[in-house]
Amino acid sequence: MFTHIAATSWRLSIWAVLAGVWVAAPAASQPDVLYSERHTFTISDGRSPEVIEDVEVAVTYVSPRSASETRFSLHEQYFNRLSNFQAAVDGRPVRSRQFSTRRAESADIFLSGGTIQEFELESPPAPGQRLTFSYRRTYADAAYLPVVYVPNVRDLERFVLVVKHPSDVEVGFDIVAPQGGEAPVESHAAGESSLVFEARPGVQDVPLYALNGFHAAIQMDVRRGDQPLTPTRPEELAQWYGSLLTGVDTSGTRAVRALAATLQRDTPRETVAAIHDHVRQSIRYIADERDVGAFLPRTPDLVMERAYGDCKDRAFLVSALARELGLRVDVVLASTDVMPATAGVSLGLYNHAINAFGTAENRIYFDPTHPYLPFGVLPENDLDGRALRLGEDGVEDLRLVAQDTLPALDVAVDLDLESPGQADAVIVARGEVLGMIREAQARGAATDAVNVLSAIAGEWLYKIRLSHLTLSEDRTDEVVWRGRADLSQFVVASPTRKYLPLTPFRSIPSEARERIADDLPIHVSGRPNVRLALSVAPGPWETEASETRWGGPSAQFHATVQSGEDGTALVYQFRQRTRHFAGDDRTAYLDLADRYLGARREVITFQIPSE
Amino acid sequence: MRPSLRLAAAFGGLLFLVGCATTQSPIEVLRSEYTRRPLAALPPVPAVDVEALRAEHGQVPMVFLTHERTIEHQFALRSGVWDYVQDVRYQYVVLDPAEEQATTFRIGADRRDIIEGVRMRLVAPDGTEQLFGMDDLIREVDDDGFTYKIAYPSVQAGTVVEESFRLRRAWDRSFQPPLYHDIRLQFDVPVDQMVFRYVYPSSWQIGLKRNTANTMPVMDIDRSSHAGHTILTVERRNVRAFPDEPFSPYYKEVGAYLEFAVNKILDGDVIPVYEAPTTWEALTSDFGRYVFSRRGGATGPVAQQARTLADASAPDSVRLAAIVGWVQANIEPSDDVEGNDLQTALRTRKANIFLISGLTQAMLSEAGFDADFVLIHPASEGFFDSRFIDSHQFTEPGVLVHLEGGDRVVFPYIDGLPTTFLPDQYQGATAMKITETGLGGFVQLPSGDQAESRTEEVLDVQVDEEGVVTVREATTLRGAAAFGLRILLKDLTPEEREEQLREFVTYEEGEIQDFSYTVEGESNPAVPLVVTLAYSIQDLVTLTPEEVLFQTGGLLSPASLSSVQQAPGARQNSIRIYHDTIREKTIRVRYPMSWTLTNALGDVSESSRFGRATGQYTLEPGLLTAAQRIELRASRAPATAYSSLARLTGSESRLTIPTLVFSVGD
Repeated sequence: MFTHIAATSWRLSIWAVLAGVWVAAPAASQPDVLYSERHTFTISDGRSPEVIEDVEVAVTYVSPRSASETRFSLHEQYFNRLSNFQAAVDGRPVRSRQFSTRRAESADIFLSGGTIQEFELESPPAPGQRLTFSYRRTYADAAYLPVVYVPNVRDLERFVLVVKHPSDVEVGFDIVAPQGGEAPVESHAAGESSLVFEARPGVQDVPLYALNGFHAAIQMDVRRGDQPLTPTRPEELAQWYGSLLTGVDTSGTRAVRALAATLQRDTPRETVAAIHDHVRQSIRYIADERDVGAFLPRTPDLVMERAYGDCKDRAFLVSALARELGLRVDVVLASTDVMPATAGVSLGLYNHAINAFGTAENRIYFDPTHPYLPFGVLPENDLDGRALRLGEDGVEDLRLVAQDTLPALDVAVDLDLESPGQADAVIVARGEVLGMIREAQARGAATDAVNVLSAIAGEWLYKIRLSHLTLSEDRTDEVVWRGRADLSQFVVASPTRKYLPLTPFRSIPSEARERIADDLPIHVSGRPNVRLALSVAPGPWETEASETRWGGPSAQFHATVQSGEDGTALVYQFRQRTRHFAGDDRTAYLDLADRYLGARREVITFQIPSE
Repeated sequence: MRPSLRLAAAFGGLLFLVGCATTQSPIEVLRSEYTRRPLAALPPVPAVDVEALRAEHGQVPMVFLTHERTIEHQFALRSGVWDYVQDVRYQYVVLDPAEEQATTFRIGADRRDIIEGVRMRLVAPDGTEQLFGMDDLIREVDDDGFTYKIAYPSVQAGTVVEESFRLRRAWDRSFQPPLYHDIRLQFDVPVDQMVFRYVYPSSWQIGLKRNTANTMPVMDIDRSSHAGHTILTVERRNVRAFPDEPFSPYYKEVGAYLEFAVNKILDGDVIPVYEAPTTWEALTSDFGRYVFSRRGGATGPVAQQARTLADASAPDSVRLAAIVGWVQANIEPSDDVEGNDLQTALRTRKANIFLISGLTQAMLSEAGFDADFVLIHPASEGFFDSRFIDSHQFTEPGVLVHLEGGDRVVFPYIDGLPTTFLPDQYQGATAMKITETGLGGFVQLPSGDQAESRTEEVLDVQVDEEGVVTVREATTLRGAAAFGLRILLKDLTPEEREEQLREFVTYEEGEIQDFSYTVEGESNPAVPLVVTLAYSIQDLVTLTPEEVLFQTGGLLSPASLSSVQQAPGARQNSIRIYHDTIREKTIRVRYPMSWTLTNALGDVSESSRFGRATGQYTLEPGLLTAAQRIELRASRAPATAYSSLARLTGSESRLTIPTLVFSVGD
């Protein structure tokens, strides 16, 4: 589970059959079908009851474009075994030789416990034909029950979710339907609870929105009196996960103690940083996700002995090493995907494991799986996702936020307005940009690191080209490059004036302005943190001092112009704390987007004062 | 009887008498030393200098010290036993332990494969050894067979990994050992010593493919050291890696490989039980009958269908496109078909690609075209060796049509592929004409139409007094580009189509308004596809009392100015540009007559052996015209010429139109 792919596969397992349908229309947001789906969960008796899920799906093809796919797949793991997989086209059964089973292969997982069961039609169904298929999943424990999604297809005929349960069991549905729509019919009777979504048309995809694929996400909360059968509260999930961990010795033995002793530093923070650096650099990434290996870490001793492991192996090893030195480092289960905001938590919510160190006031999160990022810098993928800190002081349900304070790309240029194509530049790379450069340094030729830096600059900076870059200083948290900056297109020259743009960064996608009318969260793909400082030497060209500040705590832009005896200093900075904006943050971000994108024509004007 | 069937029959009878293969091969004792020696028999681990290897080979994950593979046939016809044995031995130095390729082991095995042994040894830089065997491997199972895996523990840069394993598969009713081999002798990582061996009974005859007209792969042929067997050995030293680079030839055009086939198997020394065809005529004799079976005469359904589709009064190119387009759209390529003949293909609308090509040739002939069914030797198969009689040299069917304006090659099983477009790996390729009686001779396919690789863009930009910019961009696509876009647009709803075409808008820096589009030629692959997009931009022009700034960046020039460097000497592959390519872009900027352009725009020109890039500007009152053209010529060149090519392909940034500054009024 706690590798990105494994958990994603699990989450998508309900959807997997549909994946083929979607592939049929490359530019289409939803397939052109009439679609209905019925899930019947049957919960057996007992403290840790087995759950059987029977699924029936019917797809009527409406147009040729949605009917071109012939292969339909389901993913299974050890805790949700598949059986009774059957299919028919217009009532004619798909033959057994058209079904097959294969290993689930993924670039991230060396040993996978998952398998793919699939069938392949001999020819694509024709418009008007009806494909039906059904299957059964058997969950080893109700705790493994997934969040069920009502897919956004064009059009949904009916979606039914039924839970049959012992009469002393209560079932609750937490329904997240970000785009609204008619509420489902919910009913609860002795021994059976259900949800019915009646016909609804497909909804067009919304730009900069991460949850376009479904109408609703349903989390089931199943309890027998006070006893949770589905651990949906953070402390319940932590307790349940802890019960799985009882079989794993997560403390260290002599080897762990010996290694820990070599990592002791002057301060606790330095010691934890040394542990982090050791683990990220010496434990290579190999994921063994067979059976419970999908959720449970290997023992720290074994991970050290093998010198490989996945994210949870590393996170628990870090924790064990720190414990040997009397320091507490927590394991944090994290989600690298944007997930529906259910009130409760579930195992499928998380697909990654990292660490946290320190107290509530100064807690630092770090990710020993990323081989190139220094202590305290989280990979962008880790940010904004929901996380569960498994602390000795209790469990914390939180959202991971960026911890950087300085720009990831910091460019300082000595600019001569008369020859802007030949400026000297100093470029400092930190955070995620540093991580990309470190990776290029480790894996590629020296020119690859230069190309990475140049590409990021090209992506973020408007009309500035960096060249002749040479590495000047290489520190743990930053690298400094010196080189040439070509601002010949950045500076617009006329016979009497020089114009510089007020907004020099490509930092806000233009689609943001399309999102003003709705109230869904906004999710952008990048998080540019960039500063451009221009020093214009004293000379004939002058401009007026000015200051522009837009945005709020989560994303802001400022541009300041100051003139003095030493010339003119222009500092532009864009700072973004998150990629996910909701509520007040969303309002502030849209305001920033409107101002920033609307200021494309605005310029800072230099001219020679009239005599 | 077809050769392979005769061989099967010879063996089948014997198998019935002696039973199926067991885990212990009854003829193991007869094997050569290369498939009998202990798996531990590898050269001693040398001292390794990781930094020196990195300096020599760049940042590759590993370097093979030894890469050795032996394929051996143990063939005892009288005993009904035929073992196909593969023995593999690798010894490599890990340079990047983070790369899974260098630190894990996996072998895939069919259910019928018998793994006779696996041995892995890791020697750390300090001399510490770790040994692993079959019991350490984790087995994964699926319908395709088994995969055995292990991730090596405690690997570091400088660790030497040894991997040896041996697989055997015995002939049975469902498996005949392969008699054709295409062995790659160069890999994505460097190899110090590469050895490939092929051990086979001396009574067999082998045909080898030449690498070029004058060169045969260098090898040693040993007929004496193992009784009754011949050992063919290819050995290479210092084999460099074959990287994936742009503008590269296909692997088999320049990479090292060994392609060969068994063409005769004798029972004893005299009676042949298997004979491959020895002439191209013999190879194709049955094939002609197959691809034209039940063609029917002038009144048959094939002829009738052809007549229905082709309007006799239309030009040949239109009639050709009508017939080929109909087949592409209506006959589904499939290997799972009812019958193997043309009339069944037509009736069921389903056939394999050979029959579809046969059907198309038949329909074209009935419609009066001079057309030939051809089997093509594509560039990806490397040199065509006319002396190596093997069907693997001709992998793709097509139809060669002789028109007045020149020959065309059509692929009736690829939906939407224009009849005017010939993909580069078929251009100038050798092909076999197949008639109903077999081989109709060899032909050279045409080199393709240069016009098919031409893309034209015309941008008309109007800037009004208020600074509002209206843009009309018309792009004319041909060949692969048109084919790809037609596929992309197929079956989209109007909303999806608009969404898709918005992706093609040149301007990416901000919002556009009043978007509209037209697509011409979408349903007719015979004509160019013309996409016209129109929109307006409100925020590109800055108006000051004295001057007007028109920020053309992102609209009239590449959006990104990032530059890519390549270290001197880093390019390894030679360069191959398969066909001429022309990209033309015309930009017309109209602005109020009262504005005066203050920019000085100079023409640019760059040329090299690979072609030419030019940008020319002309100025009239109220109108600026920029004509940009990049022309690449079909060519071959050594790797050292890459910087000259990169200057040309990267020259777009020099064709950029900068921000235009206009003075206003007097």
